[in-house]
Amino acid sequence: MTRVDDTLAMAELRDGDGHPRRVAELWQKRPALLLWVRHFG
Amino acid sequence: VAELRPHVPELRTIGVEPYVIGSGSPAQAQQFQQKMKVETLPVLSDQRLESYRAAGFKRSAVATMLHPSTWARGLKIALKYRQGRTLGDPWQLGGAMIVRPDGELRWRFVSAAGGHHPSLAQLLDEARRAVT
Repeated sequence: MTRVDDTLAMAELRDGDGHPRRVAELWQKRPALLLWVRHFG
Repeated sequence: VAELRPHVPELRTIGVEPYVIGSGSPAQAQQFQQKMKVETLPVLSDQRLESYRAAGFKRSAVATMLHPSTWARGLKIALKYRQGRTLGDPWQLGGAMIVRPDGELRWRFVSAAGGHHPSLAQLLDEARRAVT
């Protein structure tokens, strides 16, 4: 089983209101599909 | 993201929560959400590119702007969708992952050039596989 790297799990994101969220929070409750886009364009 | 929009309820039904992460500001994330009409899909901001680096996604002027496939795919996308100006790091490439609650990485995709992304069918297949 491949686990997500801790650095990624602990990386900090911001929601639309500017509130911080750790990447690991996204898959805490259920499997998460994460899409990193090239830019918001 | 526009292609994924109609399938967001389906993903949630099978038990997978989708998120979009971009390198623009939180305000730009909100604008993107409104423009793409994906208000129910969380769009998050990573201006420091912390998660992009940790995920091993490429950052390259050649791969984003000068790679021949960038132009071919860009044209294909432009014919289908109206793309606005670049909001975020122009040299940063993206990717995708599916992660289970125990931290297991079930699937990973690394974009090799601008416009290189997984097909919708692949995303949905991988999502279904992740919950079985």
